[in-house]
Amino acid sequence: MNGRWDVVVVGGGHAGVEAALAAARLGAATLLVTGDPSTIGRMSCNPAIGGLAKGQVVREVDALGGAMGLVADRTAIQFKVLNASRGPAVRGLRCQSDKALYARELRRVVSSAPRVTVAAGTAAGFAVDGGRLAGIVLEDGTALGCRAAVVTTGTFLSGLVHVGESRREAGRWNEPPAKSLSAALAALGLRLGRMKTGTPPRVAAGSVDVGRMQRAPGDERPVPFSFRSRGERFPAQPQVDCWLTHTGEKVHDLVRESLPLSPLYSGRITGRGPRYCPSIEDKVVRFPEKTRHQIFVEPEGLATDWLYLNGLSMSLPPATQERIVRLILGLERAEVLRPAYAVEYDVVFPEQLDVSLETRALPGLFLAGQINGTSGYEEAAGQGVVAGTNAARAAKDLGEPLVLRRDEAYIGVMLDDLVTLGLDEPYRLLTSRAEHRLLLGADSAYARLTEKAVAFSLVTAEAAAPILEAEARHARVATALEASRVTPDRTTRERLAADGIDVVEETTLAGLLRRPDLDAASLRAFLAETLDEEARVDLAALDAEALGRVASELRYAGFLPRERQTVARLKRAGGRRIPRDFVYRGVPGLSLEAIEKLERHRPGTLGQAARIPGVTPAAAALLLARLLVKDRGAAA
Amino acid sequence: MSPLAGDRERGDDVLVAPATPPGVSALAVVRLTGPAGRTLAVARLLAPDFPADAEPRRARLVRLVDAEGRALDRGVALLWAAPHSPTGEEVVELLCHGSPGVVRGLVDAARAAGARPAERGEFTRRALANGKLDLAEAEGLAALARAESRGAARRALGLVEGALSRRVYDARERTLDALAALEGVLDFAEDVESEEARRAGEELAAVAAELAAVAASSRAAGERRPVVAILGRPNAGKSTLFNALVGRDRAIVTATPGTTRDAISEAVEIAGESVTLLDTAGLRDAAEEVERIGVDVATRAGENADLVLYVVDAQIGMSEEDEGFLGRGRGETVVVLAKADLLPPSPPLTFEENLSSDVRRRAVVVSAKTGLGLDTLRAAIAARLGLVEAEGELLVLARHKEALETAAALLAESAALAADGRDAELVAARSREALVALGAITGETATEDLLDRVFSAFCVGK
Repeated sequence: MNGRWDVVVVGGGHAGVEAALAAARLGAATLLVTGDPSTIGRMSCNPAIGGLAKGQVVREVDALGGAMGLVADRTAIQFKVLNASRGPAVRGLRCQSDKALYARELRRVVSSAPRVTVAAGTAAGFAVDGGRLAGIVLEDGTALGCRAAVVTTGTFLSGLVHVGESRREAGRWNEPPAKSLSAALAALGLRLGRMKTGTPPRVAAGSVDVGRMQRAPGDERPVPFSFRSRGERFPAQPQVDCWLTHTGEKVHDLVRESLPLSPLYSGRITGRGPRYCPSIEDKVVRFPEKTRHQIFVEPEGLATDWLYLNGLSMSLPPATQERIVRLILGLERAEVLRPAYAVEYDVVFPEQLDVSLETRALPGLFLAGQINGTSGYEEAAGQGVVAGTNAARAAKDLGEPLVLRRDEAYIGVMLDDLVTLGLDEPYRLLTSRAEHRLLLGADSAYARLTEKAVAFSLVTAEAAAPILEAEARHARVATALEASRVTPDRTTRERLAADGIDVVEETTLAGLLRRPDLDAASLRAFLAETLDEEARVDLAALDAEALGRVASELRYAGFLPRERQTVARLKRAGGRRIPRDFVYRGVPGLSLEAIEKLERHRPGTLGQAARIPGVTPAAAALLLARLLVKDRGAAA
Repeated sequence: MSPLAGDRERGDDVLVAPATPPGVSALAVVRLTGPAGRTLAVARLLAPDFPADAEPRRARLVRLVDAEGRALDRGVALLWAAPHSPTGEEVVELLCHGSPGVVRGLVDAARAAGARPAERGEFTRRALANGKLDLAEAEGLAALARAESRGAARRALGLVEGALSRRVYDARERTLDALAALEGVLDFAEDVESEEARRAGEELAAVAAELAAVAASSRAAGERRPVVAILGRPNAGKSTLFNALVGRDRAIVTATPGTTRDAISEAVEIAGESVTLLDTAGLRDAAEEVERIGVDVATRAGENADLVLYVVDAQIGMSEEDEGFLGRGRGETVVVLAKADLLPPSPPLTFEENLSSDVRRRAVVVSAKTGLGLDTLRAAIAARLGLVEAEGELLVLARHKEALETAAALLAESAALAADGRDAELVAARSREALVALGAITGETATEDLLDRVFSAFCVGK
């Protein structure tokens, strides 16, 4: 064996980088091996980080000490909070990134991280010793000895790029795929599937008439992803606009006419594509009543001419694509720099993993990112942190893996969904997947995860100190607001009337903030006047987002206790652990279908078992009965 | 071990059980369920004429034999192919004459062939495990088996046939549709119009109102059978009335006052519902100890009953003592003026004059002997006990009723939040809780269904 690593990470995308950085934070000697190290951190598809549910994940990655949020803050050229008019639990932080700057900054973070080494190479197989992973074997025959590995192949695992009728073996546009690894994974007994994703055309900025489009500016007061950005210049880059235009009937007619040329519809692409990110072919076929679809025109960077046509992914031939693009308002003379293309790749069905992301087929082997059937940079990064952490813990015998619960993090929702539900399309996080959505706002990510991050050595106590101090301040302000009475005497009423606020009944400052018609920012002055000196200092230290969180927690209060109760109840029944070696064939009354599903998924808890498709509530009840009998037997 | 025997642990053995109660009857049914092929093979050892390629759901006259192959009976065999069978497995039903010997002979022969006698509820459990029934339907099956009256049986059958489940599914579907609009807005802010979300609020209000109506018109099965106690002074005609209502001579009737000592109870059907009727000792200050105890029992029965029939001899009319006993009663009371056949035909019923107007309103004149007034009395009992079935009434279990009420309340709350223009995530939070409550009835969860709906209803994603 060549070298002796604690952890080898295969792949340098958003999952691989976070995995390597997390493993290194835990003290593991980590090697990141990738086909071409100059492509580390590349954004393959859209030039954006965050979004609905995804923005929350970026915050969670940040709370776990990851790089994504900080790098996004340093390289973003537009910030925009989605759902800004709605409650904080469903707001999504999102930014447009300068792709080149993003990748360069991420490479800088990787190269300056202690204990991380980068090497060029394409993984081809696994060395196994005594039933455990012992190393990664490269295509040139080099064996990299290690105690644990994280494989993050993205779209490169037997990747096949389709452009119209033509196709070639590639993981991205013209980058060679990992061809041998699929067979090596299958040889371990893992079941592989095939999925598809697509990316829209890029056009030259100089050839586009944005004057005919709608301006889509960023927020006037950008909100950073990372807590650590508070100490830096922010925003770090000049901010720019995006543009909005639409397809029309002419586009739809041409798409319909050209369907026989689309490999999606001619059957040449067999992998399943995502429903939430449909191609223009899908949109036209499935929603014939829609007369137009939106296209966001997004710059890929400050120093580049490339524009990304968000909403126009397709797999039609380049000549047809050009005709379609030029039927769109403002794009009549657009020069297509790169046509839209689709990529098919292999995935490992994730129900073969534990929620720690370790494969059951080969202890020591962890998988993260698109190989697990997800899509999205943020989903990849979230898995990377968990897989890297757990690979390091396995390598260094640090004990129980890091597991995030469904009521604790979107990452927890995602991992539980992946290993429990299985997949039939690429998985993207959505807030509606989270039954405890109100608990999982981006504004509470640090409150939810910092303690765990410190306990698992992902964040140093020193780095956590300002976060914990901010949390303490938050709690003090909340208490002070509840304690400050507001009496509707003449002075108070006149004072509040000046701010357009009407108060009739005696209340507290917290009571005012609970009112759905009032927003926290407009009350700030009155709060400061009314609070005592000490609380006033704390209040002054809260930024707009933190003050908004105080208000939202007051407003959600009537809803949160119930959510928490549900959590507690589910934890009692659903949290019941099922032993790994549980014999399902011994449970009377369990149908053969349920037995097969349960044996394939090997759920860790009864809650997971009940969520497996094909496991009926009746089957779950039979399982519970059996577990109770076993418990009683063990107690006796 | 027979080659046809399966593994109990794996749940793939063939089960056998008589489907009819023990004892002599015109017909009996022995039922087999299990894996396809083996179940029919076991059945063919019991009914050798039953062909291996028997057509499902087609009755066939067969010879039935015992374990040694000796003739037992002639009967009918019926094959149900999986999964279109009561248990979702292969099922064979053997109809034979209702003789305990034949039934035992068939079950023994099935056991000898490798089948295992089913435990209580095991057929239903297999149906449940194979998804043939949802939770509410399985519960209905249990209620049907226990139904004591025509009304209860009809409603239980409704439950089995999914009357409740259909309402719940309908509410669930509509809630999911409304919620999908809300979730679409929340998860795809840039693609879905918020007009959809506004309409969702109105739909939630409509579903809430409907569920509340279903809950209100639902009767919780397994509720205690109502108790009707017959009270009155000795020899007022209580036991005669009791026997008339029961429909046979259950209580001993003599001319001697104080004949009935202990309380006698019998189930009777009134307005299609089962009611417990109690005959009690006549109320008087008894000298003898046994009778005194009987009077105490009667008094207590009167206190605990849902309804008291206070019997007065029509010839004698109300006495002060009667007024005293009546005054002490706590529950609902119907005064029964008995022995009306002994009254002189005219002038009719002058005795009414000595009744207070309050008692008169509650009085029913009957003759147990001629049957006069008995129907009126039954109707009065049914009205007082609220036995009369409302249109479209559903049988539900107590937990169903609770879940329906919870869901209705949560949906009403989310509709109100939507009407106030509150944030969609709060409206959605309450609606989701309602879906959890509804899912508890039929046993389903919502998230995946919800996403399917969002994706099929809206063109989302850029």
